[in-house]
This record gives sequence, C-alpha cells and structure tokens, in this order.
Amino acid sequence: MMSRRSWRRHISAYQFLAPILLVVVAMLVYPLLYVSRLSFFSYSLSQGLNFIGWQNYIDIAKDSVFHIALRNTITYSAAAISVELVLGFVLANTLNSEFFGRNLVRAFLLIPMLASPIVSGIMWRFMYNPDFGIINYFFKSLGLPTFVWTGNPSTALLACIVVDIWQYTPFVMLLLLAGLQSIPKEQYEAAMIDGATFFQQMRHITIPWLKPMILVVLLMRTMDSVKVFDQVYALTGGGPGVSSLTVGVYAYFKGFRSFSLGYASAISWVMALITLIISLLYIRSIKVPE
Amino acid sequence: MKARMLLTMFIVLTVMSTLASCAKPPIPSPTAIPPTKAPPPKPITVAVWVTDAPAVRKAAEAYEQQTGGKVIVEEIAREVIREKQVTALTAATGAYDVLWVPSEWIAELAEGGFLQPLDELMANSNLPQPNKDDWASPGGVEAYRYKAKLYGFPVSMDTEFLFYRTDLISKPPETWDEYLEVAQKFTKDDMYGTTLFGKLPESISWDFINYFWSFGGVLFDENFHPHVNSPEGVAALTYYVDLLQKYKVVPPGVPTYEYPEVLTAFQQGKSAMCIQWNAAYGDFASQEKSPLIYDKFAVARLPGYKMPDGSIHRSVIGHVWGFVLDAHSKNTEDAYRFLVYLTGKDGLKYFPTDGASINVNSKAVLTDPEMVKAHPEFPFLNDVFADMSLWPNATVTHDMILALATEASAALTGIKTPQQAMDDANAAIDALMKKAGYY
Repeated sequence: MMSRRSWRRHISAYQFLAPILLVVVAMLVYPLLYVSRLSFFSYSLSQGLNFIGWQNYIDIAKDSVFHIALRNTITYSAAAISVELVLGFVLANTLNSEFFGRNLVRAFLLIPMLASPIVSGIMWRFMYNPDFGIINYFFKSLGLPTFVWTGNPSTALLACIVVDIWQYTPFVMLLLLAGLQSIPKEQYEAAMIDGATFFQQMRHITIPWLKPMILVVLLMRTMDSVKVFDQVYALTGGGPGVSSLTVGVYAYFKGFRSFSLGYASAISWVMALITLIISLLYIRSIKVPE
Repeated sequence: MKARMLLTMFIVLTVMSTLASCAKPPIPSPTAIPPTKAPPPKPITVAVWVTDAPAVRKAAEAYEQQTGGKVIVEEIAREVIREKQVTALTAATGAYDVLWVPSEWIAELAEGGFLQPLDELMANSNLPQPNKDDWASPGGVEAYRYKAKLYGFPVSMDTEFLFYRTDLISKPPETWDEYLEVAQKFTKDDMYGTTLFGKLPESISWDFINYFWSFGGVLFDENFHPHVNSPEGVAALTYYVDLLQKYKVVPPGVPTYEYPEVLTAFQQGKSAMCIQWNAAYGDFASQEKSPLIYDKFAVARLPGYKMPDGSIHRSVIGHVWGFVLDAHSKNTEDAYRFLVYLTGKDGLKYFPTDGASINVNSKAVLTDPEMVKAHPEFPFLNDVFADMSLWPNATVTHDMILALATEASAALTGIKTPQQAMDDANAAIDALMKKAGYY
C-alpha cells in the first residue's frame, strides 16, 4: 500500500505533468478518438454524416485501388529502408574512421535531411523533368536513353523511392554513426589481438552492438515510409493512373479532395494498424543484447 | 498539506482562466461609448488563388477607398484551392466570407448547406445589386444556380482554342483525322505535332473531355446512369492514347504535362499546335514572353469528328470561376456588398490586366477600347462559345472528374487498354452516383 508520503510525491509529480498531459490529450488522444469515431461514419459534402458501422472497413477490404496503394507502399518502404540501411551503414563506417576533411564530408552529407519533404519533392520533380531536367540531360550526354521518370508507370514509383533514399540515408547514417561511436574500442583491440578479420569483427562486435540502433532506425523509418505523402504527392500525385499511389496519398485524396472523411479515417486507422504490426514484428525478431 | 494547497490553487486557476476566456468581453458603461460615431464595418475576408489575387487586391483597395470598409485578401496556392476552401467551409466558422469557387463544385456545396443563397439578398432593396444588363455571360451566371437558387456570381468564363503556327500550317485542321495528319507532318527533329495535358489529378480529364464529347461520347444516359464506356467514348480514348503511344506526335513527357508545360512547349517552338486555354493567348502574343512565336501563331476552333453526313461535330469544355458567400459568414450583408462590387464592372476590370481571368462577365469591360486592343481574340471567343459545354451540375461532378482522370491516365501510359479504362471509369462513376443517392 502506498504510504501517505509517497502518495503526496505522486500528486506533486502529476501537478507538474498536468499541463503537458493536457496538451497530449488535446493534440493526440482527442484526434485519435475522433478519427476512430469518424471511421464508422460515411461523410460526404452533400449528404453529411451518417453512421454506417464497419462498412468503411469492409469497403477498404474490397477496394482494388487501396490494394494497389498498399502494395505500392510496401514496395516503397521495403526498397527505400533496405537501401537506406545498407548505404547508411557504409557511410557511417566510413565516417567513423579518421580522415582529412571528415567533418566537412559529414556536414555535406546531412544537407538532404535539412530540406522539407515537400520541397525535396518539388526540387526532384524539376530534376526528373523529361524535357529540361538535369537527370535526362546527363543520360543524354552519356549517350544513354532518356526516360519520362515520373510519367511512366514502370519508373514512377522508383523515382519516388530514389528521392526517399536521397533524403533519409543521412538520417540513418547519423543514428548508426552514433551507435558505432558508442562501441568500446577495447573490443576491437581484443579482437585484433586474437587475430579476428574485418568481417569477423563486423559480425561479432559491430552488428551486435548496433542492434538497438538498427531497431530504432527500422522503427522510425518504417513509421515514416508507411505514411509517406509529401514526396509522392509532389512528384507524381500517385500517377500515372495509380501506379505510384501510396496509402498516405490515397487517404489524402479521399479525405481532402473527395471529402469522404469517414473512409479516409478508416484508411488512416488501417495504416496505423499495419505500422503497429510491423513495429511489433521488428521488436520481437531483433533480439537486443542486454 | 502544501501539496494539497498547490493542487487546489492549480485547479482553481485553470477553471478561472477557462471561464474567463469563455466570458463575454466586459460591456463598457454608457458613458464610455462615443455618442454618435458608428462602429467601423467588420473586415471581409476573401479567399482567392494566387493567379487572380493581384486583381482582387486592387479591387479591394478601390472598394476600401470608396466605402471605408476593410477587405482582407487571402491568397491560396492553386494546387490546394479546393482542400483549403472546402475545409474552411465544412468547419462552419465563417473563416472566409467570400470564396473563389468554380461552377462544378456548386451542387455538392449547396446541397451540403455550405453556401449562402443570394436570392434573398438580391431582393433586399437596401443592398447594392448587380447590373444584370452588363452581364456578358448569362449562361455563366446560370452555372451558379442549383435547385432554383443562385449561389454565386461568375468572374469569367474560359474555354480552349486550337493554337497553331502560321509559318508552318496554312489552314488549321477541321477534323481529328486532319489534326493527326498535320501533327504527323510536323513531328520531326526537336518538334512534335501537338501536345496533351496528361497530368493527374485533374488536368487530363479537362483535356480528354474535348475529344470524348466531340467523338459523340456522353457522360450519362437519359436515366442519368453513366455511359462513358460507349463505343464513342472508347474510340475517343483510343484516339487520345494513340497520339502518344502509336503515332508519337506528342512529346513523350505529356503524362506529366499541364497548363505550364503545354504553354512552354508551344512558346519554345517544340510543338506545331496545341489545344490550350484561351488565357494563354496573351502569353503567346507577348514578344517578351514568347520571342520565337509571338507573331507566328493563330487560333482556330478545336477540330471535330466528321459525321457520316459530312458535318463536323465539335465540342469544347468551358470553365466558369466566380465568387460565392459562406453560409456561416458572420458578415453576410457586407460580404454581399463586396461580392457585388467585385463581380461588377468596377471590380472585374482588374482581372484581365492583373489576374489570369480574361473573359470576364462584364460587357463594359469587354468592350473597353483598351481591352479590345489588348485582346484581339475576344471576337473569336464568342464563336468558340457555340461549341462549348460545361460539366454536368451534380453533387458528384468533382469526384467524377477525378475518376475519369485516373482511368484516362492509366490508358495514356499503357497500364490499361482504352476499353478497360473506360469500363473501370464507368464502374467508378456508377458507384459514385449510387452512393450519392441518384438511383
């Protein structure tokens, strides 16, 4: 049983926490509950709000456009995160060693992270432009065939993935670099004395020590990429057709173009559940050493 | 004890500050009120997209000087004009008193009760009223009527021309077959015969509908059921797709093209023809903006489908933009006063010079000698209006445009055949109509 003194200490803790708790409730809990409630209603500008139970979720299960958007989102996330992880790891390892101008290179590599996603989307849209974009210009200069990057169904999603990799690899690199720098040097020295090769050091020291950071990277990047909106909206608008449509962009179109707010809310909840399931799978499958 | 006191004080302060913020402002004592001075008029907030904002700002300045009222002009990016304004309307806070809305949104917004009907205000003799005799496009005004109530006044009614290079083409094509022939003839080196608006989310629908209607396609049958996958509709999409996929007479990047890209392609001499909005005429005719082609182009009616009897069936889309009032405006009468001013000749005169809306709804502005001199295309515009149609006035029109765009885009880029795309478009529109309760 809680003593009177400890109870008082709890009360004062809650007093100090009260303002921020109120903010969290107002900004996070209330919208979540409201969206949850809205997902059981049909809403249109002309017909208003009508309770329809689980119908939005049933419609989502049958919605072929949603299935395409989900497939695109999974492809997008899997491709972008895998490349970002590999590239980020290579870059972090490179920057973890001493060389002339290391700080300059590190600062230079962080530049993409500074641009907001919508700005980088618009910037890359110009670079992808089939007529005056710099990418086709280089392809042409090298005698390679040019492409309508964002207007071709076979390259539109790829174009979006490339932008994601460009923008978020520095973030992955930064986290992994922090992880690498926390590994005690003695571990490597001991391994070298024992005659361990570079790959053995990598397998038995670097990777196990980096596991917690890899888990953080996977969780954060998965949450971000499953709900990706800005770059795809700016680059392709989900097109051509629905070839690069992602779940986030589809929810936006349903919510703020068609104003089917109930359906868009249900899509958001499905998206949140998918993110939650993937996150739990990560947490369970990656065993972090004690 | 101290903790309890602190907790009590915190709760009391929170409750007091909440109550204080909800309370009405203190009423000044009678002696504090100036005896004769009338309260200043409440400011009116007008939403408009960036391209016409300079015109609205000038009109607002003139209105403020004339009446002493205050007008706040809120600029909105073109890409989010629907999202921002409709969100504001659905919030029912009256954030914008006057909004910039195209005619195809009227049915759904009026049905939802978001717009202020103007009929009562028009019957109020204490308020200024529009000069109906000055309306240049009474049809444009009718586009703002839904279920016998008027919800807005148009600013302009725009349509599309066939622009062609006079140094290359002596006679503009009359039929779609001739159009293809001419396009094939001039597709060489760095030039393409023509262009398309292939971009999502909407542009491609506004472009394709010209072909669709001209080939004899109809959006709905006599029972208001969608009928876009008729043989005529499929033939129109096949022709449209073939311009890119089969004949390659348009730049390969057209799936990413909309107004600016089509404009640039013609300005830079990369296309011998283009179907483009009439607002582009001024840019093409400007030596500064189009040094390569400013004196080498002309306009014609869009080509049409040659009927068995030899006649040519032409059709071209029209687009009406205008201003409406928010039903939840807290300042309806003042907003109406400004609406009447802005959509009358005194306000409309700023749009052709400072905005992007050229063919304004005022005879006085359109016949002004300066305007006639600056816009030699005006007489021709009236000829094109004979071929013009608008999207149907239904609560699902905007969603229908999006559905048609998605499917036309899928066909244009080879994801679907024209038949599949039109079948899917038909099914999508059918679902929209059912959901909206039309049948």
